[in-house]
Amino acid sequence: MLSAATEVFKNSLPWIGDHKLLQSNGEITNGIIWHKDLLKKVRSKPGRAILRGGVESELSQEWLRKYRSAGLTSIIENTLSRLSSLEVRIPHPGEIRNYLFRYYDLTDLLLPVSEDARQHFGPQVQLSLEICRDPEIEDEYMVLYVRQHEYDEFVMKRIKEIRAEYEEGLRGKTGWFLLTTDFHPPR
Amino acid sequence: MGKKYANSPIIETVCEFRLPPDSKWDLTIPGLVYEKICDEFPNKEQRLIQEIELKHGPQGVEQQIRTNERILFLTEDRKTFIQVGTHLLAVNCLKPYPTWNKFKPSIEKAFKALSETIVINTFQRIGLRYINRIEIPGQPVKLEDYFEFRPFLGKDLPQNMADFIVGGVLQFHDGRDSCRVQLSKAVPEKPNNVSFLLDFDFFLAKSQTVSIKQALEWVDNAHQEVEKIFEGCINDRLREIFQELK
Repeated sequence: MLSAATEVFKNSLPWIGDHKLLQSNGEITNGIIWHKDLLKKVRSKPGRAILRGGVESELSQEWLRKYRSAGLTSIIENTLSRLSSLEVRIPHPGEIRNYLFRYYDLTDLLLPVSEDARQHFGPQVQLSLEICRDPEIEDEYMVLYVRQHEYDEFVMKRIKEIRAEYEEGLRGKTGWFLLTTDFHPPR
Repeated sequence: MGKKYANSPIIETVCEFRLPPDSKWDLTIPGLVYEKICDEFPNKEQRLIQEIELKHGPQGVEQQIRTNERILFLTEDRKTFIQVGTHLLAVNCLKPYPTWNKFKPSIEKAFKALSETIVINTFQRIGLRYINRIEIPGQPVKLEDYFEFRPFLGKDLPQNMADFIVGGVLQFHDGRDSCRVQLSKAVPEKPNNVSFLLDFDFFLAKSQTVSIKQALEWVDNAHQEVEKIFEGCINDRLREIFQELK
């Protein structure tokens, strides 16, 4: 038995296959075959998952022992890169970086929610990741805005559907993350 | 002595010591370590890290996702912190990087605290990692103008790369140590910049080959090697952006 930090495969798949491969076909073959749904499960609901196919355990163990590391910023950086490849607008990356460092556990949630939002709303909709500040209660939280040129009555319904999927994953998190719209056109 | 830069690209440095999984560990250890370092690292935080376990089960190798607790002890400015988790001690330093001579005492203090708390015989892994985010104003950017470590595209391939990740593992000391070097694109801080992540992870590749007495010397040597690799990966145009201090 061995344990391995999630960040190893999530973020620092070194030179053999990067995270974009995971997005495109759900597989990395470095002696390890990762199930394409694995990342979602890891991020949202800790639970049990079995890898598809076989795992060459000796190679995997050695690989995991060598390449796991306790760095934090690379996970944030790679998450931002993947959001960027999903065409998520990040007008102030520095604010997001600072927020994610403070509320590190939200990092896991960002990508699956953005992927779901992109899938639900399609490529023409603007997704914008921003920090929202409430001066009255000196609070700040992270918001993924859905913006489009025209709004119909189904927009909030769809947003609520996605929210319902990640609500459970938000429980116990130190920060706060909201998917919503401000009914503005894309910026 | 390595070069010093006014505009250093280092966003995080991590020095970590992992003990073998069969070494003794219990829940009181983080508290005992804290007693010894709380003068400089007074702030406590708990973080949950999701980890994967692979084990042989009736259906072959199975995977279990598990949440483990890691305790962080942070300095007042929260820029340097010690992570203590099961069989793990790590010291992280965020930007602005205060120079090796200022970071090294934090490593020594944390390591001393752990070694006075438990018996350490050997290490499964020791690592020294430097993560750099390099911002280059203007675009497009020709990689060969800035990097000596970069992807190579043959003349018959399209030269317009939208995104990339390139890496390799360099060996040192007859394979006892290795350094993973990785360059990839990153999200720029400013809209007209191009940003890259240059990541060095120098680690003990052959586990249990460094004793407790040699550990800090290993770290010092790793730092020297990483400095050389960093300088080998960049060229003078990047040095100009970083603004070398002479």
